[in-house]
Amino acid sequence: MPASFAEPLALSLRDVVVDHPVGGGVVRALDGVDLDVGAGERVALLGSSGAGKSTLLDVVAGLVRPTSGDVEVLGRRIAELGGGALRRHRSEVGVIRQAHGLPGALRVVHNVNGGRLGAWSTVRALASLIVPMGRSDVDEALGRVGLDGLADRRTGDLSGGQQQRVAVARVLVQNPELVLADEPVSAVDPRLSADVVELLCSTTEREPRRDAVLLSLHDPTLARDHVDRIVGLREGRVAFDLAAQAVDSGMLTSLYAPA
Amino acid sequence: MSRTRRSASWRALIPLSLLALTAASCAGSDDSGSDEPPGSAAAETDGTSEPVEESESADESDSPVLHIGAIPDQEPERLQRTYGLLADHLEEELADDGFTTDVEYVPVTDYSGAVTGFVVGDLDAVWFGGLTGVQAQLEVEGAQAVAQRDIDEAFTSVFIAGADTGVETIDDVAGLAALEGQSFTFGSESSTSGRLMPQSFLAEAGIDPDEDFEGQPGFSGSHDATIELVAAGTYDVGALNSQVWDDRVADGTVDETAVVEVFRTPPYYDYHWVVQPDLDDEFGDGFTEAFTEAMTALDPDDPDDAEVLELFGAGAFIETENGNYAAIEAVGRDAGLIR
Amino acid sequence: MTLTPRRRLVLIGALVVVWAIGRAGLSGVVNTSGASAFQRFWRSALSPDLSADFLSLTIEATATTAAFAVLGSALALLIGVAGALAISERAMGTGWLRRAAEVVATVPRAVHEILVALLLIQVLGFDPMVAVIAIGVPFGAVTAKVYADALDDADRSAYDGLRASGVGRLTAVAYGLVPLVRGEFVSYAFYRFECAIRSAAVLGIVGVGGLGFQLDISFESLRYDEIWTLIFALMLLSGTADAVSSWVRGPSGPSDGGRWFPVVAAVGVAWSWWQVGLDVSVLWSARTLERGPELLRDLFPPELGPGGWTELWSATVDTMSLVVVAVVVAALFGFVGAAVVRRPVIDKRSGLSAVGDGFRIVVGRLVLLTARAVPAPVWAFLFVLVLYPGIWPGAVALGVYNAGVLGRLYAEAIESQPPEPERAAALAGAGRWTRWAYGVIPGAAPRLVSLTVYRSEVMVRETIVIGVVGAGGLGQLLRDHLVARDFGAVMGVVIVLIVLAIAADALGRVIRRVLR
Repeated sequence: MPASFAEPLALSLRDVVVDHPVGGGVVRALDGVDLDVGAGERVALLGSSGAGKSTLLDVVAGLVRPTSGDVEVLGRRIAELGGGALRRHRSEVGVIRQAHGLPGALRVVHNVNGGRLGAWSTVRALASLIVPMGRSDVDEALGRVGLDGLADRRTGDLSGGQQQRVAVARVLVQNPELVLADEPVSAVDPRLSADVVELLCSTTEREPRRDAVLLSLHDPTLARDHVDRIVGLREGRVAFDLAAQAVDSGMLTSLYAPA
Repeated sequence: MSRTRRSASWRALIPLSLLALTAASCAGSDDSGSDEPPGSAAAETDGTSEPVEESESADESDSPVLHIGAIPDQEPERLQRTYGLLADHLEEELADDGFTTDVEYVPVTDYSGAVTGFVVGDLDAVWFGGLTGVQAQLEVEGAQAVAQRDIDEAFTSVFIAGADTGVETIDDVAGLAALEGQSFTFGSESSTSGRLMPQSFLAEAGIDPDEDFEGQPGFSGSHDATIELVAAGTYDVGALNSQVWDDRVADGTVDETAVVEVFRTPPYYDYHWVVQPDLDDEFGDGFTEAFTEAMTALDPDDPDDAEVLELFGAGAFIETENGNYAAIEAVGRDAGLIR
Repeated sequence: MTLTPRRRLVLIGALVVVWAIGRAGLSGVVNTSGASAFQRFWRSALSPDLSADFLSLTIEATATTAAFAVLGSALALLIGVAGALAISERAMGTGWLRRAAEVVATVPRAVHEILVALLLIQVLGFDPMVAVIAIGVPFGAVTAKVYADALDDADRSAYDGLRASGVGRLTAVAYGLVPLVRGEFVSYAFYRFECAIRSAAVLGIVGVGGLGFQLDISFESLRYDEIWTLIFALMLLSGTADAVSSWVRGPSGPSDGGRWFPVVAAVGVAWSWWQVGLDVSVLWSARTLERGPELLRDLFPPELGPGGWTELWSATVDTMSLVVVAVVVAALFGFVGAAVVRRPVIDKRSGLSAVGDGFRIVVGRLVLLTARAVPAPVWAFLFVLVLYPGIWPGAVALGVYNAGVLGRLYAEAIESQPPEPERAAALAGAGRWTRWAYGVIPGAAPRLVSLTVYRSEVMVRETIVIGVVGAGGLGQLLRDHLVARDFGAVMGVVIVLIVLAIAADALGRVIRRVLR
C-alpha cells in the first residue's frame, strides 16, 4: 500500500544507479531503483545476497553516493549535504548493521549511549566513558528491550540475542526519524529474531507517528508478519513493491531463483 | 563469573604489592643502618638515595648541604671511607668558621660523570684529576681550583708490567718504545695519570697506542683495576697513578711476584679541588676561603687529620690556582681530550 | 642454477658475514692470559656476597630499578596512547598532520635509551627523571606505532557503525575501537615493562642509580662476589617481570580485557614515585631552563670529531660488522638455547626420561635468563677480559645478551608449531637431529628468520650500549667525544646512529618481503 500523499515522505529514491569499482571494471549494484517510504511506514527489503539490499541501505544512510539518480531522505537531498550537515543528518538516521558492531569489552551503558554520540561533543563523549551520562534514557531504552538492570554488564558477557537487543536500545536512545536495519537478525537465534524485528518496528509506534523503518531480511515469513510493505530486489532492480500480505510464494521463488 | 574475574585481577596485584612490601621493609632497614661504620655497604646506600634527600632538605630550607664529589679513581669502598672522614672534618672546620652546613659525599660511576655532576651543579666541590679539573674549569665559568696535595705539584705515573712478560726496567721516556708489541691498559679514559700523561709520554717515545700494542689498548676504569688486571695477566703492561701504586705496595696488597714497576714518568701537575663560583652566595661570604683553609688545615700531627691525609697519600694540602694547569690543558688539547 | 630472490639473499647474507668476520679480524683476538680473571669471575657465582649490608643495598637497588621501569613504562604508555591517536589513520584521517606526526615518531624510535640518558644527564644531573624520560620517550614512540597499527587493523564494523551515525573520528575510536584493542594494549604494555626492566638496569650504568649503578661500582673494584649478588638480583627481577608478562599475555592470564589494569598501574606508579622520590618540577627548574638551551647550542650544529670523516666512516663500518657478528652469535646460541629448553612433544616411546627433560629445560632456561638478565655492557666488561679490546668483545657481548632474548622468542615460536610433522618423523624412526631437520625447522623457519631480522634492527640501536664501555665502533667514538665533552661531535655520531637505525629498519622490511 503506497504511502498516502498527505504525509511527508521519509525517503524517496528516483532512478538510482550505483556502480562499484571492482578490479579494472565496475559492478552495477543498483540499476535504476525507484522507492518511496512514507513517515511511520515499515518496509522490508528481500532478495538474495548481492541483490543490492545493503547498497540501497548505504545510499539512504548517506554512506554511498549514487552514480546517478536522486536521493531525498527526511526531506533533504543527500547529494547536497556535506561536512557538518551530513554529520547532523546521519545522527538523525539510526543504522543497525549485519554485524551489530558492539565492542564486547565495553559496558552495555556505553554501547547504548553509542546511539547519540553524534549529537554529543567529543569532550562529553570521552568523559562519559569514565562517568556514564544520560543514565535515565539508557535505563528506559533497556527496559523497552527487556534488558532491565544490565546497564553495567560487559556487553561481551551477554548472549547473542541480548546483544542484538542492546543494538536496538542504542537506536532507541538515538531517537532517529528513520531506522535502517541491514540483516539485523542474521546472527540471532531464529526464536529470538521475531522479538528483535518486533522491537525495531515498535520504534514507529510512538507519537507523533513519523519514524519510518526500512530493514533488509533473509526470512520472508518474518517480513510478512511484521512490516507493512515488502520490496523485492533482484540484480539491483526492484522486482516487486507490494503490501506485505499481497506477496505470495511464487513471487518469492522467482526472487530467489538463480539467474 | 564475575567472582573469578575479580580474583584474577587481585592475583595480578600480588607481585606488585610484594615488591612494595619488600621496598618498604628495606627502606626501614636503611634508616637503622645509617649508624653503620663508614665504608660499609650501608654507607653507599646513603649515597645512592642522596638525590631524594636533597630535594627534601631543599624544601625544608634547613642548613644548606655541601655536596662533595670525587673522580672514582680507586676502589669505591676506599673512596667512601676517605670522603666520609673528610666530610666530618669539613663540617667541623667550617662550623668553626661560622658556617653550619652538612657535607655529603655523592659517588659517581665514572670520571666524566664527576665532570657532568659539577657542570650541572649537583656537586659543589669536586676532587678532580688534572684533565677533568681543567674540563670543569673550562665549562663552568668562574670555577676555581682551590687546593691540592703537596704531591700534586710534581705528580708522576708508573708503568707496571707482569713479572713473567720479560719487560725490563725502562730508564727514560724514549725507552718506552720497548713496550711495542705488548698488550696494554690505561685506567679511565679521562684519567690524567692513568691515561693522558702516559699516552703523552708514549707519543714522545713514538708509540701510537692504537697501532703499536697487541690488540687495542684497554681502559680498566680505575687505578686499582689496572693493578689487578696486569697482575692477573689480562694485560702485559699498564699505566697508573704513582701514589696509588706506592700506597698499595706499602700496604702489601700488591703481589710483587706477579707485577713490577718498570718506569716512572717525569713530574706534572695533577689532582686538585675545584669549587663552584657561587659558593659564597649560597653558603655565605668567605665560604670558598673557609673551604680552602679547612683543606690546608689538615694537620699530620692530629691523629684524625693524619688518617685523612694518609688516605689521600699526602703530607699536607696546599693552595693552588687555575693557572697551574695550563700545561695539562695543552697536553689535553694535543691528545684531543679537550676541544 | 638460477638465483631466486631468496637464494640471492642467502648468498649476500653469507658474504656479509664473511666480510664482517674479516673486518673484526681473526688474529690477536683471544687473550689467553686473561683466562684466570675470567674463571675467577665464574667461580664467584658460587660465593656471592650475602652479607646483610650488601643484601639490603641490593634490595634497595632492585627496588629502584623496578621503580624506574614502572615509571618509564607508565610514561611510555601515556605517550603511546596519545601518539597512537596522532598517527592512526582512523583517528586522524589521512591529512598532512598525521603524516607529520608519523615522521616525528620515527626519530625517538631510532634512539637507544642510554643515549637519551647520556644527554639528559647533562641537563638534569643524576636525577631519577633522567631514567624515566630515557625509558619513556623511546619506548613511547615504539608503543605509539604498535598501538596505531592495532587501531588501524582492528575490526572496523563498530567504528564504521558509529561513523555512519554521524559520530566524530576521535569519539568513534574511543567507543568503537579502543574497547576492541584494550586487551592487546595491556598485553603490549606488559611486554614493554619487561623490556623496561632490562633497560632500567643498563641505565644505572650511566649513573642514575639502581642495579646498574651498583654493578658499575662493584666492577670498578672487580668485586666479583658483589657483582654476582647483583646479577642474581637482576635475574630474579627480570625473571619475575618475564613471568608476569608471559602470564598476562598468555592463555591463562586475566581475560576481562584489562579492566583491572588501571588499578594495578596506579598502585605501581604511586609506589615507584615514592621509591625514587620523583620530582617533576626539575623539568622547569631554573637550572634546566639554563642548561637545556645551553646543551642544544652545544649539540647544534653537529660536527665531525678531530678524526674527521675517516674516523666516522671507519667507526660506522666497525659498528656494522659488529652487528653482523653479534647477530650470528645471537642467532646461533639462541637457537641452541631454544632447542634445549623446548618441551618434548614426542611421547614416552622416544625413550627420553621425564626427569632428564625437566632438568635440561630448567638449566637451559636459567642460562637463557642469565644471558638476558645481565646487561650487555656487563657482558662486554667480562669479554674484554678474554678478548682484546676491539670489535670482538663487543660483538660477543651483544650476541650473548641477545641470544638470551632470542632463545626465549625462538622457543615460543617453535612451541607454537603443530607437533604432527615431528611426531611423524619420529614414528619413521628418525633420530633427534633428523627429527629437527625434517619435523621442526621447515615449519618454524619463516618465523625464526623474521624474529631474527626484527631483533637485528634492535641490535643496531644497542651497539651504542656496548660501545660506551669501550668495545668499539660508533659507541666507542661517542664515548670518546663525551669524555672530551665535545657535544657537537657527539651529535654528529648520534645522527649517524639514527640514520643507521632507520636504514636497518628499511633493510629489515625488504628482507622480510623477500622471504615472505
